[in-house]
Amino acid sequence: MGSYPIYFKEPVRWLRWCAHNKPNIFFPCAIAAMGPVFLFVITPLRKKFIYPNAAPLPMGGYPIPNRAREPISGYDDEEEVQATTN
Amino acid sequence: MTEILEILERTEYVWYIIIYILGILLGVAYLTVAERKTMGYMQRRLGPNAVGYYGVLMAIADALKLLVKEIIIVRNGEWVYMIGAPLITLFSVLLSLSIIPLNTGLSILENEYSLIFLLGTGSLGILGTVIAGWMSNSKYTILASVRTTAQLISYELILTTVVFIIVLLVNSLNIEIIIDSQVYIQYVIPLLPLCIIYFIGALAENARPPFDNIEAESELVSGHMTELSASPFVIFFLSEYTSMVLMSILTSIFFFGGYLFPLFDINSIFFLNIFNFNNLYWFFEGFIFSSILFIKTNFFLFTYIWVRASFPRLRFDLLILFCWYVLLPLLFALCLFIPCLLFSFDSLTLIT
Amino acid sequence: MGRQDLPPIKGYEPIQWKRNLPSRGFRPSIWLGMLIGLSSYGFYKLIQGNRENIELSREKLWARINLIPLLQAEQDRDVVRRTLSYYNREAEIMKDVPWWEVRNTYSDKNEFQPPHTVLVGKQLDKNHGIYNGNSRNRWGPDDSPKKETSS
Repeated sequence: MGSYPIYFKEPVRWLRWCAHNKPNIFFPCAIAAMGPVFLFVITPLRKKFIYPNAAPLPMGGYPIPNRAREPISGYDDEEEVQATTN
Repeated sequence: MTEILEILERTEYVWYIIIYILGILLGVAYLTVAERKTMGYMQRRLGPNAVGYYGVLMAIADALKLLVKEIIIVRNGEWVYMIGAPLITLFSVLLSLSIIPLNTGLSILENEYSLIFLLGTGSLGILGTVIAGWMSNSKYTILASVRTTAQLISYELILTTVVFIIVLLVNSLNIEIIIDSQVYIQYVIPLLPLCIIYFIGALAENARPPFDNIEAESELVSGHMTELSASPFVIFFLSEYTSMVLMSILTSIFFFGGYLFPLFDINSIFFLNIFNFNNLYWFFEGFIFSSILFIKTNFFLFTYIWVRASFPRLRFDLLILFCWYVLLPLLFALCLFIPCLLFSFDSLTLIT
Repeated sequence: MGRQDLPPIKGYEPIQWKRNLPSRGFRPSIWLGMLIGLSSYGFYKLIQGNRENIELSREKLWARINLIPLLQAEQDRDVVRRTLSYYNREAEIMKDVPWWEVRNTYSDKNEFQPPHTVLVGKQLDKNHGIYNGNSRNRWGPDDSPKKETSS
């Protein structure tokens, strides 16, 4: 069996030992550790060098204009409704 | 005449379903013959060859033999469970088949939540084996049903996680959208390891060799269905093979683009110019595209038989350890990694 | 008398002692590299496809947003037309009740409320019963007299 390395003394050899003796744990951990690398390292690089983010989608429906509402007039709604009730 | 047409129109879904189920059951019957014949050739013997030409009628003969036999009802078992347990398993598989699209819009039940439906019906099938094992009042069947449940639940986790990763890629539970988004690339190319894992999980989920500890045919007399005979047994048998077909169809849909084929696309000018648009066109379109789906499916069905003829059986504890210690950590790692990759390249389609 | 079995005159062929092991293919690291290359190409295409899907959904959303004013105007016209005809109908039905005030009896006078009962299509045709059949009239317009249902 032999002695297995201790993590605090020789981390690289410990990793090699893990890769050989517990590959089912080691390689998933390695793959999962690549996720944060992609999140925090590759993303800024991609934004800078390849392409920036796409503009956000207009999920809010019809864009409401950023101004006060103007009451409309001149479409003679009132008269027509009044006329029918008589 | 008009009255007949009207009655046919009002009941058209019933006819669709009857034709669909008849087709599936006939296909499954011939799958058993194909399995015996293929395994025969792989082991340098003949396989079924006596009934009909080349054993063509073997499926019908088998079915007749099993259906004509007397049903033996266990005295201390409730007959409701005896009849009901196989039917639960069979119906759960047939329900799952109803969401399979043969072409765009050509499925019995098309909705936005196909995959949820699929996972639900897939889980229901386990109930049948539990009931059958418990109903028989025998410690061997109870043990077998516990074993079966352990294996099926473990490997269903694998299948669910793979489906979950695909949902992350597509951001839809609709099975047609999953197929449509494989126009760009078939998912077997980026997700080749997942495809293999899914196939292994499907093998175990169907209790096919090399994972057939739950009902090893010669050693552990049929596992949870020891007490069943004739029709109930036939229905269990049928549901097992139907779920084989289902799993093959799902593998070809999730990873090989379903009814889409890269060179023979519905949108290609070539295809649209062959036929005129009339009623016959829709028939040919459905026929061609569902044929593409079933050619892919047949490849996987052959692979099931191929694996059965090639590999020895796994021990049960190794089987469970393989699921929980090897496949599941790998899948969870990929579950963490793939969204990060997609996010970092700004293609996590949270809204489509 | 049969002949005794003897070795062949030229002697036996040399025994093959070396095993015919099949080749193991590439090194594992080369297989891993091929897998990573394939997956990278696949993810490249997949990311392209997903980005294209996002752009397609953006196009769809903007098309719908730009259609909204037109559809809203149509809807408003329709509501006005239905409202007027509703009041007319109410006035015609209740013309014998002197205290009835059209539009104001059972509603808040200050607040406009659109009509809550809308008759569409064949319901407005007094001679026709409520259409019970399949909405897809596949065999063309039917001239056969329908069964009268009480409407």
